[in-house]
Amino acid sequence: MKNLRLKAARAALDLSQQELAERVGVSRQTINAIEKGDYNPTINLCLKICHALGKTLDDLFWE
Amino acid sequence: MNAWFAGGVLAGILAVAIYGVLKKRKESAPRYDERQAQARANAAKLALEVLTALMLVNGFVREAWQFAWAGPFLETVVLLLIAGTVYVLRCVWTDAYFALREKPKTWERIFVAMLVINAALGVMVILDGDMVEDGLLTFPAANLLIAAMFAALLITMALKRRKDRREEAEE
Repeated sequence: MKNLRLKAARAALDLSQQELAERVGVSRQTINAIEKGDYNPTINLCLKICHALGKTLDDLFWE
Repeated sequence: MNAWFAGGVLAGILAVAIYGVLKKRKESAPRYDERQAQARANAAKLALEVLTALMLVNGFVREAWQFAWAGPFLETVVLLLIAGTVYVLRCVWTDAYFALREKPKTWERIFVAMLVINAALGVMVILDGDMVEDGLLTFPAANLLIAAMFAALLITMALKRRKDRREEAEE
């Protein structure tokens, strides 16, 4: 399932996938895969992404 | 192919493997992110399945039809090269081949050089008529296979780059 909340949160900060990837320490394609719903990140990666975007797990990943 | 040549090839492979292990131990930060690590594991599984299938088919062909196409060592090298190519192509396509800090362009230049060198060696082997001996492929024939492997790798990298550009445009 696509993660549109993540995409929206990234866009709100005017970050490209590459920029977010660099902040989090993953490849751009990993961020792309998470946004498209092709990859389920581990809790550690979810937390890193939340921290980079100033959001909570509820905001970005939990239903 | 004489024993010294085979020994040299094996020594070369061993040297590269040892260097790779030592280099890996030096690095502290993870080279691949979690998705890449998972993709590489899946690619390795696929390569192992391909290698198993190739070994079974090759064994059957040798046994049932008494047909040998190369010496035992070259057969092994060819099967390993094919499985290795499957692994590499799968990794490239899932963006799990290059580590986070690696520069693909540098490696691309090296791959082009490897393609050209092996293709040239392969052509020389064909022109010298040394490709087949007593109905069996000779070891120098492996150069053409290695060239084909690098060609497939470069084509896959180019297609992947095009796919990535499309994804970036859709962001």
